[in-house]
Amino acid sequence: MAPSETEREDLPTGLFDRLTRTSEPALQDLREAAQLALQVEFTTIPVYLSALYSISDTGSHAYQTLRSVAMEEMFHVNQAANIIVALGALPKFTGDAVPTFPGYLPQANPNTTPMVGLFRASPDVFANVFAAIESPAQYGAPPQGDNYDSIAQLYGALVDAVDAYPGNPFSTVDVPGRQRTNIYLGKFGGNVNAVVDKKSFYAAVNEIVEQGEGTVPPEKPLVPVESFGTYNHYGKRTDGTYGPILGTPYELSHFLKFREVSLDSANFPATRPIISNPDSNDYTNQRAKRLSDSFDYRYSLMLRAFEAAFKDDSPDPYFNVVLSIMHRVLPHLARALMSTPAFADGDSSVGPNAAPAWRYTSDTRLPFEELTQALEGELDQLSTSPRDDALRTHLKAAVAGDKEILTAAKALGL
Amino acid sequence: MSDYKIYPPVGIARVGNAPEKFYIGPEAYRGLPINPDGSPFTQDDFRDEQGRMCRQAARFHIYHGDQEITLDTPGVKSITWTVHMANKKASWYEFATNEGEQGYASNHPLRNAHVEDRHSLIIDPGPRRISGAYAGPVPMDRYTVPEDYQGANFPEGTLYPNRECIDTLGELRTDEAGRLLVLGGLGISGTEDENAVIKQYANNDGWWDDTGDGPVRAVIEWDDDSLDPADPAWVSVAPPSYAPEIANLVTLWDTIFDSAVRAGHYPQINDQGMWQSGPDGYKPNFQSEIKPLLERATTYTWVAAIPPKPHKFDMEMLGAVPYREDHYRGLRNWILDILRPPANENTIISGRGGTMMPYLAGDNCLIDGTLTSTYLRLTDTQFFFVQQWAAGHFVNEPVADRGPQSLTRNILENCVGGAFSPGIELTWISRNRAIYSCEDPFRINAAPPTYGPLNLGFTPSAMEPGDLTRYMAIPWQADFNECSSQPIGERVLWWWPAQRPEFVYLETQPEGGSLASIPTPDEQTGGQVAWVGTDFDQMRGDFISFADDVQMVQYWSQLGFVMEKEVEGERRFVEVARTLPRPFTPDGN
Repeated sequence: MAPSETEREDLPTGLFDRLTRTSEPALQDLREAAQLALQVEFTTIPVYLSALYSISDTGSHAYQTLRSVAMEEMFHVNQAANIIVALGALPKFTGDAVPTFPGYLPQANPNTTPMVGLFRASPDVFANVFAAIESPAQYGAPPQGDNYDSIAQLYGALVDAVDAYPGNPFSTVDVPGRQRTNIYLGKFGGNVNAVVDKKSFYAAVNEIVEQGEGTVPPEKPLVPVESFGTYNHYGKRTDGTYGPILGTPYELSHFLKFREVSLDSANFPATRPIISNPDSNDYTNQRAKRLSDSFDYRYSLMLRAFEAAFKDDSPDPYFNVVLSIMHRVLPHLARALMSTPAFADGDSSVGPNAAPAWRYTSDTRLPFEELTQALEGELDQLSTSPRDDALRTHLKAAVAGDKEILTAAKALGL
Repeated sequence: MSDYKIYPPVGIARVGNAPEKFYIGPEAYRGLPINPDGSPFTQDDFRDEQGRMCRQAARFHIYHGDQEITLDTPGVKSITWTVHMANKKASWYEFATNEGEQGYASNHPLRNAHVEDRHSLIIDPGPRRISGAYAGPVPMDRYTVPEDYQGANFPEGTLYPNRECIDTLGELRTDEAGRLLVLGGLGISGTEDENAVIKQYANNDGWWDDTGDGPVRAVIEWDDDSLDPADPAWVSVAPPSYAPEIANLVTLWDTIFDSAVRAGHYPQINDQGMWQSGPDGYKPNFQSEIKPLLERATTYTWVAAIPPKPHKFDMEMLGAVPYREDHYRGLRNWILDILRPPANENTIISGRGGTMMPYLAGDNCLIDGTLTSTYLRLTDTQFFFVQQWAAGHFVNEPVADRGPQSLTRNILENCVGGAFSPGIELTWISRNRAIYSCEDPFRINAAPPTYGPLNLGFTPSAMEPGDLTRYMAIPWQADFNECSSQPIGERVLWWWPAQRPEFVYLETQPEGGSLASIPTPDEQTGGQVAWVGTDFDQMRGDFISFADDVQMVQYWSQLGFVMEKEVEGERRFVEVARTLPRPFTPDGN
């Protein structure tokens, strides 16, 4: 019997309370819960990338570790998006879905989870922010979707909600979206899989949780007993060497990766002197302001294109627009910003330098062509002084990346 | 220059310990070997009925343009082949990665430096001649040296550890149409020292092996008794090809071709040192110049602990030629950006933070100094093709069979073109343009026939028997054993997994043995096991190799081959024809 109107009013207001305590959870609530998981994963990416680009030595262990985690978070976002598509909705990457900084993970317990922000990398940031984000759930911690203490609890709550749903909430036909299994590139761990039923959903969630906080140690023998198998990816192994990884127990979880970097503070690499939690309104160097806006425009454009990449009926902008901005434009622009003093007459080697704010703007009035021209203009204005060499290199690369997507962006009306 | 040419200009034979049974080397790219009787090649054909490994013959053809000339060609009365092989390894300089590529320094050590009679360090049976169909075998052994030949020499006495003698460098045969088949040695390596110690991967004084190389000549006699000599080719003897259907990322063809491109033989690609880039420049063909590179990366995952996920490629997307819109430029750029560019031989992490590919050791990751070249990279020409492709300037067309040119390419594409440390078939001498004809970019300058003894030096315009393989490791098994994995910094990189497998998949789970002590279903169905070695700890000396190089001298012929088969309804590359027990425990000596 369906709950009466009055009974519904008495129900708890939290999304996850509704999902697990009502006899007929609404599909819409499930979709919202999955979108929440997506946003939690999404929120970590600018946080990790800002710190990542602030590290100047790309070969350093800290950089490589953080990069591997950031890439796996992108895979988690993709996997969460597939869950949403399977639930018959479209994943949202724009507007309110875009994280703002500083803040907390969406709907997290502010008393037990770290304040997340855009920080210059340091051992303390690895320990107090990154490792804290990926903290394992305490033993016996219940699944908890609202006001959760760890990401694992949130996923636990999502699994409970799917469990509670009668029948199979997932579908691959007659849905407006397309699941993507082909956009997760590189050597990093995990695979993005299509979600078709509860079983594939559980497998997807399990992989995300295991990569993040790791498996509960008591289940695993202390000495690895698996022989080498089909190698999933490469990385630092639990036996102390770098090499092929089959999966647990050879794999370090994100939590342990961050912990390891934070403890080795003596070897922490040099970083660019950037402002943490930047706000371009504070900048008095106009170039820093302009570059910050340039970054946000392209970031927003990428998010819109990424959102479109999950729509079934539209052309697929992933392999030209999204990948190009993600791979060939934003990293260069981020480093250009980080080589630009935030204040007029500043010295970029001393700082404080600007940094990307990762703000979403729905303003699409400026055609992409003009954005590119503006960036080229920026390049022309640079002094010939060697002081601007680093900035010039990064800007040049970003402009080259821009030009590769001009036609594609125009065709898509982005 | 003659109108008649022998193809391939460089042919590769491979050792085996079966005295009679042999097969012909693959003449298709990534192809299986060819049975002499024309029957389809199966996994049983790698060995004879006693389980000994068959030798791989190099087959030589004569072409006039694109027209093959055989005994069946009208007007041909006979074809007479002459082959003169030698092994000059023991008489040459020590191999020390890329030292010597630009000429040896005066302080570069010789192998067996204490031996004064340097000619006594050459294995030289003198030339041999063969003609007709189904002729031979004509042995190139110590007992049949031509009477007028002055320089014949073979190592004396019994060689340890296997208590065998090197009495021959191989034999000549012909097939049904009078094409030449050259078989190499029996894979015998050893030293007169009963202790039989191998101290180093490439240079071991007192050691011998029975590989070799030398010119291949032919004279066509016509019905009117006129004679036409063909431009000579070269035969070189190499270790077995344990994974014939898996190709190295940089093949020997790529390397020689690259040297020819940069020397100006292909001005449509590189004209007077200028790469023909941009939309109006050279447009590589995706089918023949890009896709094979990606496929090689994919097939590596069958023979090394290389993750399959990043090595899977959607060829439809990647081969889509941009027309008005370019949907996949980002994806192509992504691949370009992870490839190690020229002049980045010592870079493992790119400026953008990615691990650069290939994840393979380079020409010199062993000796510090100014010549370090730690990681392998694509050749300049391969990289140029990838650049043009990434920018969208490429075509996607079926590949035409170009007759003897294709044969050359196919055969050399089944060989290693780097890293040359020293390599498998040939080393960096293969990219020295001075040894090739100015008119024919793949043909080696052969010295006129000699009555011996052979020259001890290096004359690139007149290459002699033994002048190609003498750079290689002595015995070859030492390098072959050690060059499996290579610790560099905190990482462990691979050498030549396509020629020297490192991890293999099994067709069926072996019965019993210690593998049964770690039984989980996943491993039984899909696990990779070490081809050789204990496989568990990357830091151990016997991680994926024998603990002692001498064991490779003893057991090389019992190792398994990797072959594409249908297993459990899937196409897989699995290990076959292995006679060495797994797990393998040496006898304890």
